Amino acid sequence: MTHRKFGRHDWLGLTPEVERFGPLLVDRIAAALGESHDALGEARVEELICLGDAAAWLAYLGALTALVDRGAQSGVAPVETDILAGILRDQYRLAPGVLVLTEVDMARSQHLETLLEQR
Amino acid sequence: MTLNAKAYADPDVFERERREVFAKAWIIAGHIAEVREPGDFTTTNIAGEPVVVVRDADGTLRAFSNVCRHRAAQLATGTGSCGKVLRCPYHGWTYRLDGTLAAMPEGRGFGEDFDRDAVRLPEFKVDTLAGLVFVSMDPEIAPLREWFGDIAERLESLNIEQLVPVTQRDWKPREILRGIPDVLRSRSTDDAKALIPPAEHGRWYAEYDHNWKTLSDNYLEGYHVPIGHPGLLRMLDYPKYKPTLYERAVWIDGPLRDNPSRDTMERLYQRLHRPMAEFPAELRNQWTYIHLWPGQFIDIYPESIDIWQMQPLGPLRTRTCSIVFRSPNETLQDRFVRTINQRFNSEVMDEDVTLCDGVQQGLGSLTYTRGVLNDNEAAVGHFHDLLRTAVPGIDDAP
Repeated sequence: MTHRKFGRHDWLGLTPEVERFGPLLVDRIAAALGESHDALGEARVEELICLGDAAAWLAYLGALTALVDRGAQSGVAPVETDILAGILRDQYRLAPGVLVLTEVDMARSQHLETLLEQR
Repeated sequence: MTLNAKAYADPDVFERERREVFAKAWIIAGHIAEVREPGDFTTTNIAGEPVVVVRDADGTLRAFSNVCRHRAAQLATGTGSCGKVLRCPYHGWTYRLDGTLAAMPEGRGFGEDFDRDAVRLPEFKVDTLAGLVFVSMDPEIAPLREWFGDIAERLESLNIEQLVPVTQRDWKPREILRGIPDVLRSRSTDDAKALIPPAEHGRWYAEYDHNWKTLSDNYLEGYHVPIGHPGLLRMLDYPKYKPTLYERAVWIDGPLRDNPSRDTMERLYQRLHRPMAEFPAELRNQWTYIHLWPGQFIDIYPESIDIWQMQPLGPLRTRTCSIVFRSPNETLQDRFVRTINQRFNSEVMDEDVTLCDGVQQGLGSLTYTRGVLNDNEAAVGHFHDLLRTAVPGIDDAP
């Protein structure tokens, strides 16, 4: 597979839906799980948009995917978990148009596809 | 008899030709080398439809409408690699290489009723012949080789698959001039640069205020050569200029003369040109011209092969797209000869454009309806008969 050359800032096109819905969904899922979510909240998204890069964004998506996983396994906040899983699935579907996914990212993507198919 | 002159300016005929001629033909989209690897794509325009041809992850060649289903932006431009997905540059809608919609940014904003799984790029037929990628928008069209009939085998013999498309980077006039002292004495670098039209992704585009059939008719006959192209007459052995008609094609042999031309540039070409190693032996001492229905032309020179396609924009506006192929092993001398040829045939084209300007105006005359055809214009008659079949009533314009 030949890779297209991506612009350094193309990944920013991924961020709007996560910025809009992510922090609220993270709040609710983390609260239901009884976890602290400072590293995943609104401030982190803004920091990534202003100062981050594609790799940092993927790492952030990975952390959100792990949160979705914990939510799904515990069964708390099922509506919020499903919505966030759908948003993340779209992130991974859109990502090949703006950056190169690693094997780990692709495994996360496949995991989310499976998770949503089962629900 | 020729077609009714009104068919060369009538908006209704133009619209019917888009749908009944161009959308129902096999059209060249590019060279096989442009879509060798998964993710590689090339683009073209057929009957006003932007088309993208892409090799998918399984290695299958696919052709799609190059129009995003969201707001009609073009997904891909020129040639290149899109990686694993086609992403719209406007709002980021992202399509898999099977044409299905993978996702769109801010997808929740389209509401729950929006069925994203139902969105896919319309797919067209695609096949390859003689190293060229062809696309047809007609799902009922006959297979490519069958459609072109006997000429398919002759096209295969041209070895176009072994050639490479010329890109702008290939043109190095300074290098050419440095290598050819004789030319360096007589021409400036600016003159040499002026020989080279701008290329976009290996394509050269031009637009003309002519109906596409006016340009095509002109290409198809050599009857006007002694009058309109004195230089070409010095090069081509006119009495041996011979068209052979095929079901949907014409093959025109144009043997080169043995005697040197009086013109310095023509003589230089005659002296220096030598066929590419890939070139078929039987065509080595001639220029050959091929017409593939409906509006695609292949010029076969010993040092290059040029494809010239009609892309009608309106009844009186035509864009042409050219792709030039050269040997992958082209030497400096070969490149110089190709540049001479380019310059020579650019002059021929200028002469043709002037002639077509006059013809297009004449076709709008109140006193002219149609003309008669000479034996040397048999290919024009053949072309017009194909048009009469494809567009019934094309001759009936009031």
